[in-house]
Amino acid sequence: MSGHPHHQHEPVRLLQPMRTYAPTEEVDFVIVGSGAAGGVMARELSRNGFSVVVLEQGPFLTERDFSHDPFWGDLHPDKALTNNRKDQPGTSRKTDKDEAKLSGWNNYGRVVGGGSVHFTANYWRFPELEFEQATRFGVPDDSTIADWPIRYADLEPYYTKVEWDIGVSGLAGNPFEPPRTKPFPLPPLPIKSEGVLLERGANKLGMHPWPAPMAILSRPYRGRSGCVACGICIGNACEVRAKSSSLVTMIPEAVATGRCEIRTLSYVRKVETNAGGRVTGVTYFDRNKKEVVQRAKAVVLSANGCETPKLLLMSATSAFPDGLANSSGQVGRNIMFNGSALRRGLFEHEVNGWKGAVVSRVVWDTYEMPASLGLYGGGGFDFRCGYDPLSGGATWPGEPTWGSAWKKRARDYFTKSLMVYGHMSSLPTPNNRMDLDPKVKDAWGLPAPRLTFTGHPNDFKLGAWFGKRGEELLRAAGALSVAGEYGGPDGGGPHLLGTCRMGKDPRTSVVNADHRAHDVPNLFIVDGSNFVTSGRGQPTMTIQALAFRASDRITALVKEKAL
Amino acid sequence: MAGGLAGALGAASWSELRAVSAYAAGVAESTPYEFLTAEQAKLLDVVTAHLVPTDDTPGAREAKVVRFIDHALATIFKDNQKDFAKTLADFTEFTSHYRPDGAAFLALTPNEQIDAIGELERLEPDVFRDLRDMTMAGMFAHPEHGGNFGKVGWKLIGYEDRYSWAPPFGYYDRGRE
Repeated sequence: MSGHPHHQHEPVRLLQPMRTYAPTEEVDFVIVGSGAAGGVMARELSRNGFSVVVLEQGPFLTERDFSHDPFWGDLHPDKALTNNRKDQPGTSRKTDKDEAKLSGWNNYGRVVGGGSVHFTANYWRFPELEFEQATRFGVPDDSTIADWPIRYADLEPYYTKVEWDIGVSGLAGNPFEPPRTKPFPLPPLPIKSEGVLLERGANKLGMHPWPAPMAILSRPYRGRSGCVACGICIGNACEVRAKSSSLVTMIPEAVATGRCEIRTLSYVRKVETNAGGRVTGVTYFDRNKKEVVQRAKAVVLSANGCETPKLLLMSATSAFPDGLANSSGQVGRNIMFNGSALRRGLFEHEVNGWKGAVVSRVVWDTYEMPASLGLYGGGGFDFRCGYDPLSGGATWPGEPTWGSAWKKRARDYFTKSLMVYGHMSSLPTPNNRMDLDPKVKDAWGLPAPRLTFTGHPNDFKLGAWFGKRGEELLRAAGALSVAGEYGGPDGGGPHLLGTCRMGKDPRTSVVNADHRAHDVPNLFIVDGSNFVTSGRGQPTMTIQALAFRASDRITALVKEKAL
Repeated sequence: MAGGLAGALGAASWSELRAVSAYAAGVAESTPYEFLTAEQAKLLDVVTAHLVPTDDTPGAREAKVVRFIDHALATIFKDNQKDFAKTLADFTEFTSHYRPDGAAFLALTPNEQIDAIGELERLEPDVFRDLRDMTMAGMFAHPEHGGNFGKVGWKLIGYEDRYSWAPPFGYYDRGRE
């Protein structure tokens, strides 16, 4: 390790020249982050006629730079596509009494396109109940869960827009999916053996398996290739542009407007404000760690649920002593990561889940749990391989782990096993939050984000229930044996949610339903930090639907001269 | 080593991994080691060959696992040099108690060696795991990193690094394509 941020080189290749702006030029919008949300904001605002500079921490890579080597997969932090733990450490602790220790809780995509470049691409719409859980199910003890200020009906047109504009494969008609106005633009990806087995298990248990909605093209679409089922997918960047990341959908279309610059290797350290309490631009470190100020009429933060609140907290001034847009004290609070319940099943015949996209069938019967269980929230299931070729050394409980005896079984573990993945909601609590570590700094001298997190007791119970149900699904599908025991809230990871929650009340939320900061009229926050609830496990679809809606709202505010 | 293999894998950066690719063609027996001492290499040769033996299919020796470990520790796993050296020292110390006469691991009979590794797995699981993780990385990482020579690891588990696949992918989706 050189100790430097990776990708000093940056082999960007665009199909058209990119408009650039001088930092001294006051552009209409600076957007911080080019991922799932930032990409949408960039395309929509530049298409609507605004001048836009997108500041991205990472490099601009394209499919020519991506490798077919699973070593690149960034399920392990510090990898090429994500933040590097050494350069940008995070710290975490369970409670305020504990000393925070270095950890990799803050994992995010750090390239143009953000996490959408390497994600699994599960594109589940949130169910209607997601937006009104406090009203419908109450607020559990020690939770800050609340209703969203918008409803599913407000987002439906934008969910549809996401599906058609980026390319989502699936099949309408899932009985547990909320009402939709249009079918999917693309048929489902081909069913895999895991999907067939999930169907088998779910049908036996009276559940309703359905083709998975995936942001991966099942056929060529809008100038991009369909998926070739290479299998180097989760945690990796697509080599054929079939994964519908911001990198290959929104970003090129934003650049094509001639009004949008994607400025890379640019790490924003402060949102600048004037005496009137308005945003005037941002200060960032350029690729040489030199500070540059980019002026803007308005700023959109789409940096993710960790980097966005971090930036607000770092932007404190005498007028905003607790951080920008933080009069509520809610910046960094209500953090959620989703939960997971995992089991592996070993089957008689080859599953070969290492080929193809990760998921082909889902089960959503558990979106809403029977009241009799006394569990808050819910989730959904898929069956997936969970292995890449680097997992060839896998073992099975109770069986030899080395020598000829292990060798004889290694092929079975790799080709004949699969994982049931229960994806779950998680509850926000009054004390779970991220803030700035008082001691640990990153390679730029900025404070590391510090996580304080203890899973809500309900979420452990929910995890235990999902784990047991997952085991039942495996056995009903014909698993010869089942392994694993985890079920509960994730204490970190790429689903960084809730830290700048949206709401009607400026005392309890950071932005309003237009994504406008309650405290700062020309500052907008659009990313997973806005989530009031965690969803049932798959946030990116909703992040993008929010971004499309936010673009419309912001454009309307400009037209109304309300900015 | 700290964080196990995941931590070690995680420490690698793209350009450094790229630079390793030239190593793929295989290394002559006489080529000097980059990080390991000849003694460490000899020990690892025997240990890794017990973990993944050559039987009716190729094992760690055919995969050139020791060359992978050596090269990785000199390059992409450079940060793990100290930890791995300690793992080897711990292994040497632990196995020296196997026989009352304090014979070194390499002086044990093959059956004694196997037995000693079994005891290590039970009593010093972290040391065992580090050695196993490194061995498995050498078996199953892309051959351009120096191990998995001739893709023998991938052949063992039934993985094929093609660029595209078409259904049916496995047994259960036959007839559903």
